[in-house]
Amino acid sequence: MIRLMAWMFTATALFGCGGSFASNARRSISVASEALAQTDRTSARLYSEAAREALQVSHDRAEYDRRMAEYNELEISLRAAHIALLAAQAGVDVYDSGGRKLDLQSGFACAVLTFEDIFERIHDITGGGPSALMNAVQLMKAYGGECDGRYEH
Amino acid sequence: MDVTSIEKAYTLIGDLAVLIKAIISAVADKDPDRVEKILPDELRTSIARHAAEAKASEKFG
Repeated sequence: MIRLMAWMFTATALFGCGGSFASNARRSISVASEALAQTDRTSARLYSEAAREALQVSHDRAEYDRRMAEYNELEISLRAAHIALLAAQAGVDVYDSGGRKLDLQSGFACAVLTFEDIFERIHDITGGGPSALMNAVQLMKAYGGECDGRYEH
Repeated sequence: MDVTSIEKAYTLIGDLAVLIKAIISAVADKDPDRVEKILPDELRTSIARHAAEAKASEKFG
C-alpha cells in the first residue's frame, strides 16, 4: 500500500505539473537515474560483502566464481541499465530535435526491461527488491513502446 | 553487516530518501539533471567487482 501511494505521488508530481512530453520524459529519466544510483550504492555494498565471504571460504577460483555468479550477473544488469538510461536520454534528445516519438518510446521500453532485471536479481539475492526501482519502472512504462532487443540481458 | 540488515536499512531509509529527493529535484527543476551528472562513468558495483576480482586473482592465481 505504501509503495502504491509512493508511486501515485510520484506520478502525480511528475505528470500532474504540466510540461511537454519531452520534458516529462527527461524528468522520468532523472528519477530513474537517481533510483539506479541508490541501487548501485546498495549493490556495491552487497557485492563487497559477498566477495569477502566467498574469498574466505572458497578453496579455488572456480568455487569463488560459482559463489559470486549471481552478484556478477547483478553487476552486468546494473551496467545494462546505465547504458539503457543513456540511450533513453539520447532518444529524448533526438525527439527534441524533431525526431520520431518511436525512438523515444523504444529507449524507455529497453530501460524498463533492464530495471526489471535488476529488481529480480536483487530479489533473488536478498529476498526483497528496492521499491524505488519499481517506481522508476512504472514511470518509464508510461511512455509505452517496444524494446528492439539491444539491451535485453 | 549482514545482507538482511543492509536490505532492511536500504528499504527503510534508502528507498524513501531517494524517492523524495528525486521527486523534489525533478519537479522543482525545469531542466532536470542528465544521466551523466547523476551516475558516475563507472558504477560503484563495477568498481567493487574489479577490486574483488583482483583480490581473488591474488589468492588463487
